[in-house]
Amino acid sequence: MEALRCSSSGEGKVRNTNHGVGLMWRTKERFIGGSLTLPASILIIFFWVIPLIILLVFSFFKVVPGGGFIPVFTFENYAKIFTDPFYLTILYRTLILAIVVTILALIIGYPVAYKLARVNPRKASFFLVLIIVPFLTAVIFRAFGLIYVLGNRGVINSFLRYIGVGGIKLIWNWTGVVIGFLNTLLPYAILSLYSCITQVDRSLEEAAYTLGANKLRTTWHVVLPLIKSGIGTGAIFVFAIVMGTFEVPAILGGMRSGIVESVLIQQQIAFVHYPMASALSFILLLVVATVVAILMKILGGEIKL
Amino acid sequence: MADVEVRNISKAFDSVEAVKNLSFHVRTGEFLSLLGPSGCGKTTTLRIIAGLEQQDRGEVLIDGKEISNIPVHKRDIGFVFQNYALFPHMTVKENIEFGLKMKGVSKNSFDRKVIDILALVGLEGYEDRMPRQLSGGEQQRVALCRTLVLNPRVLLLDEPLSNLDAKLRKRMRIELKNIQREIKVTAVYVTHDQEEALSMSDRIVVTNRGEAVQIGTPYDIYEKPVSRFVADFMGQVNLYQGKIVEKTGSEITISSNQTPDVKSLLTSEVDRRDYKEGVEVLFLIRKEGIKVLHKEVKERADADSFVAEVQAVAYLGSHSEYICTFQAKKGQIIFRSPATSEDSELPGRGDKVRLGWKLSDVVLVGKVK
Repeated sequence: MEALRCSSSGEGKVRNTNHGVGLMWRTKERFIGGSLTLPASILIIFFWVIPLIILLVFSFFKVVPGGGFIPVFTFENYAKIFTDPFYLTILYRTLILAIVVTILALIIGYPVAYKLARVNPRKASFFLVLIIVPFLTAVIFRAFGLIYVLGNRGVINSFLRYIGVGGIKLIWNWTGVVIGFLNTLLPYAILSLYSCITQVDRSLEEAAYTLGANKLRTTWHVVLPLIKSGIGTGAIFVFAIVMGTFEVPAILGGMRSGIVESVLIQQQIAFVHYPMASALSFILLLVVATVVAILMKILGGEIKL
Repeated sequence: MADVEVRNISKAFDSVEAVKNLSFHVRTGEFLSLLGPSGCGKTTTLRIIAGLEQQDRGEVLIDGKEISNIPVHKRDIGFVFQNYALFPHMTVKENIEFGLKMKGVSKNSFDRKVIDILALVGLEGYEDRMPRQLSGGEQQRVALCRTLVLNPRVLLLDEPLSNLDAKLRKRMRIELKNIQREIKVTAVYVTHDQEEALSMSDRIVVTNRGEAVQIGTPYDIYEKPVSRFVADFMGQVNLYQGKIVEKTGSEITISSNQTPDVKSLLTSEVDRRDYKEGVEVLFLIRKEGIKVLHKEVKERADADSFVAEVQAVAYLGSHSEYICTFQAKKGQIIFRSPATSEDSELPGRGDKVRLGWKLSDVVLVGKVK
């Protein structure tokens, strides 16, 4: 896109020697440049903005006891969410889950990203492909696959029982959900950090060593401050996806894991409480937007998404 | 303050030997340069001394103590990087304080130390600037401050002036040397610029392909190169090969197909023993010793003179450079002469000139094997 724009504006300048034609050309060029963004704009407007508005409208409809709803304006749904301890608890737990997964993904992802950024580029690209490959399988398949690893009769527990340690519960609880999310989201964290670390000149770290800093302090005082934007990008990706993915908690945490997304699906599918589900979705959206805004503020608008 | 000894160090990267059995000794307070073309292992050597690279063989001693097992951050060695490596997210003051913080120096002394060190390099009042707001020369000086504020035992400099423009580079040369002399720190300086090495160093180690080919004072390196490589690298242009055809006492005559028969003097006992009649030698005529002789040519016992034809003249402002060929010989001879001369017209292209030099300006570089 950028290249296209550069070359066509260059041509525009040449044509400008003849004013009439030049002006026409530039108008035309602007029109073409603008029209190219049209497909994306249409997609966003029709499949994101409009459904969102519909969702917002639905969230103010009245739920009829026993299923269904009627188009009567009411704040009841929101009021219920903010007063009923059931909803408040699941909102709170979801938020905590997202924060825990985000922090763990960044901490676990950093050493990998760092190593990748510091090995020779050919080796790095090989490992990067390995990291990207899981993206090609759907989250849902990977989550199911994890059951065979983490389950009570899974690989890990079978091994533990074999060596006589006894089984541990890794699934149908928070541990399972956190492991499931990390498995899915680590690549996002690694890739965001990696692209930033490659921009940090190796000699900066070496300078820190010669000035008396060990590896840990060099990381803390030199590398981390310089990759703030990568940390922010990674955090936003991981956080937003945790807040918006129901498959992982549904499969690895059980339907009763008490995460907003699973409740949302229950409301939607089992009870056909569309207005309630809509209100819940909106609150989720607001929470994510708020967290993203806070992250951007802290990191000084350096985030490159 | 300390002395550094490098003993037989070798280092290979993926089977390419960057440093081969290199040894040298830097005396306390000395300014020593590692000089050589790019890829000659000089930077690797410096990084080994700093601990940023681990040698395959050999040892590095500071004050007589082997330091190879001490990690970089505990070596007390200052390192100035080619690209300065200032922390871009810190102010000048924070950059300078970084090392003090890491070494656990009391915070009360920070302000005083920063002010003093900035004054040393003439950057008073720059405390709160960010590195990106500084020019290359200023960044260079801050990088120097950041290192010197820790009073390192040894200061290592990796082509610190190579990113500066020519004029600033010349000024920084003098400045850097003055600072080093003032604080009397032992310094090892890596450069590929022979002028830089000549003007700043107490001694120079000329390296080629990972090996030291000559170690000596700037004067020795320039005036008495021991090999064609050193002579060539130091900018000796009038380099010829010939055979000693006559030897009377310490005076020899060399016959060459590049120059007329020239005379030279053997100055040392070793030379007098080694250079016999019939020996093939490499010799140079010092470009600084060559003079254009005008009408009255005086025959002197300690001088030689020959007629040559001017092929090209390059006017360089303060002087002109002449490229001439000897009559009936293939060799070229290059020399410089003041661009303006009051009493005579300057020779131009095609003119015949008589060139003269003292016998001591003909220097034997070595035997040809």
